[in-house]
Amino acid sequence: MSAQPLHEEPDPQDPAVILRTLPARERVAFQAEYRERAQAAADDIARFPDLRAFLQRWALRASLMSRDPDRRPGLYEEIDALAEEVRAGTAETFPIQDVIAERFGLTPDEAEAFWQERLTAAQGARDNRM
Amino acid sequence: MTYRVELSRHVLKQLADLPLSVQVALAETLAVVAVAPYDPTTSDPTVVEGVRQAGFAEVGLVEYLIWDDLLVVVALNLLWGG
Repeated sequence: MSAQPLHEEPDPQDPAVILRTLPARERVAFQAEYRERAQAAADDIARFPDLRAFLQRWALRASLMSRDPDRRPGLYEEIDALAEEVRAGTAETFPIQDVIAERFGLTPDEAEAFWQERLTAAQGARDNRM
Repeated sequence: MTYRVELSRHVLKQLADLPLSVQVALAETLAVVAVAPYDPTTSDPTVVEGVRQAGFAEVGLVEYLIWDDLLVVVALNLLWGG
């Protein structure tokens, strides 16, 4: 007979655990989205993997957000301000091909080829899902 | 219809802390976003209007803004647990 743990660890992908762990201002949005995804999976069982992927992302978000509570109060405002700068055309942004070339030590042509390969793979995966 | 992908300066700074393999995984996720930025099977809305999130390398999330008029996606922030 194997020993049983005294207390089972909560499943981080349990929607109730995610809800408890998320910052308060994200809970309503998560619940609304969860209802929609759960209903879609209930209506079409083939959508269950999508629901599972959704819960994985939100469990990760809840975990990451809970690790650094001191920084969180300003996070939404920072992201919102950055989004406004982008919309206004005043934000400094960098094409991903340039970033790939710089980070991976590639020539511009090699970086473009690297990016196009990823786009082709992404499009192929999407076509297979549909 | 594929969107162009750009990164904010903030994300560029964050990239410096990521292992190379994770940067490759992020590029792969951004390619998925470029192909279908609103796909609910790979991304979700966040509480910031117009900003969605997608996962990368199973330990990170990228938050991005979709600019439909210009067919551009801008990566704004990374949440990373490595």
